Amino acid sequence: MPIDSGDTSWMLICTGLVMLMTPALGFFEAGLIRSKNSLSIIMQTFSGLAILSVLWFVIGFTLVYAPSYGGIIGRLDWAFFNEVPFKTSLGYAPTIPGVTFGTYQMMFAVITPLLITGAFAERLKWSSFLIFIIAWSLIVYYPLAHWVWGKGWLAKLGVFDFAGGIVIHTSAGMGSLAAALVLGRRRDFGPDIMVPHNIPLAVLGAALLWIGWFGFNAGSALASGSLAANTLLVSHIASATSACVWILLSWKRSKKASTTAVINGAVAGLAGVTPAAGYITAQSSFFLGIVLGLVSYYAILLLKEHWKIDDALDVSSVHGITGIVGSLAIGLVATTFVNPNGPTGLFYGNPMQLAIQAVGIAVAAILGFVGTIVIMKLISRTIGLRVEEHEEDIGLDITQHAERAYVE
Amino acid sequence: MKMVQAIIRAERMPDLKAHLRSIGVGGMTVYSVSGWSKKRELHLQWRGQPVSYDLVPKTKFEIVIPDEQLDSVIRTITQHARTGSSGDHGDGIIFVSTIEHAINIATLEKDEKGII
Repeated sequence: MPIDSGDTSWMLICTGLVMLMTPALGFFEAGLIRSKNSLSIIMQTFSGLAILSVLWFVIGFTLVYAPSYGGIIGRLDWAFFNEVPFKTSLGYAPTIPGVTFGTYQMMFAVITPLLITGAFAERLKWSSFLIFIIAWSLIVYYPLAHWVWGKGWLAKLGVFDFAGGIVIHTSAGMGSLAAALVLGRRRDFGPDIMVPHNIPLAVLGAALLWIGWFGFNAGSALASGSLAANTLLVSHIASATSACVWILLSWKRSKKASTTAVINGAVAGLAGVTPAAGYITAQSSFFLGIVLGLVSYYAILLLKEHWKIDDALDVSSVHGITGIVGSLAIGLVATTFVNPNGPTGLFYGNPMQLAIQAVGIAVAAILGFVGTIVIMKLISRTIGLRVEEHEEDIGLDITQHAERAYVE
Repeated sequence: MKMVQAIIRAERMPDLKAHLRSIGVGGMTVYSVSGWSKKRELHLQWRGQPVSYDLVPKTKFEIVIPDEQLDSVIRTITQHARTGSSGDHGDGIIFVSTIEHAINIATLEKDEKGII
């Protein structure tokens, strides 16, 4: 098929939108933690954008998308983007240049390991962070993305994941749970340390994430046109509905509607609708958004308040649990009326899809959880994971980076 | 009544605040300040270049207490604002002064009744 200029324009814009999500994630997280650690998480996300882009260029793209060794991992044909065409397309996206497909997917490979920064915020050493994101990409993300999106064994099994609920949110979410467990709680864990130091900054980050997600989900159609249009609506409705649920739940619980709650609800809705966005109707998305808002809100109460697991920014609930719910939703409400190349769910007459989705989710959850534990234990036994206690008291900005976010 | 003013390391404040409250101090005013003294400097960087600043960020607080609480307050501050058991340069300083009057604006209670 020839290169289509409309599709190419749309995908170039989407590449920029998804790129923007990584610094946006940094602002979102920085605003919600204490000022003495705010630069450290901005540094992790922004430098992660650079480091993981290079890693994807060198080895990631070829491991995920090059022709497969038996459905397990891609060959090395496309290392350093060698032989990736810019005048013609790849089979994955037949109407856009091959390099555009590769660059668009680069932004996904960048943000996925960086979601876990929210779990280990305010206590992980910078050097340990650096090793962690590289190892996690190689051991968890690249194989999993190949299995689902690179014509690997999960794709052959019939697992569907439109924009990354299994590959991204389930794996990073369960990885966050594992990271929080291995790393342990922050010092003086409790309400005193959960002080969002700059809520407007967090709202700015959430706003940029929301618009970036249009590129993330609707761009995963890999073309402009009707599917992208419906996907954008589906994504927006799930996000808005989930945000409404969080407004009501925070209002009910603390007698005041909360700013930090509404932005978390929006992000939870976006993360949860991601896998299903290109397969379901906007009407299904409305109901999915309600479910996503409820499960993410109550998952946080269970994990953080009841079990006292210090996943600092609740990545395991806001991304992990919602990613699992959204990926299962494919097995219920997906319909070929929306996407002729997609699956059919239980409500449209295909009960098997639910079981197939569950297999994909289980594989991603186990790989994300166990892979993270193994990487973190290895780092712990060599260079160590946590900063010293007095460094944690002073803050990561000064002790890890010799910089301050704010000067009075 | 005495006013105790202390300049301490910012990171010691949460711990110290909890201990002062537990010995019955009735209230506290806290400031973020920066200052210089002797040869202490703050070593940071600017675009990868090392830079030293003579103004070091600190926390300052003020409490007003009945005379008989002074010893226990001083003991609590010196114990919990210190680095390790022997202390280190930069742990800070305590000033004690005498207060003539205190009036609670809401209740109009005066002096020691007004500060508890």
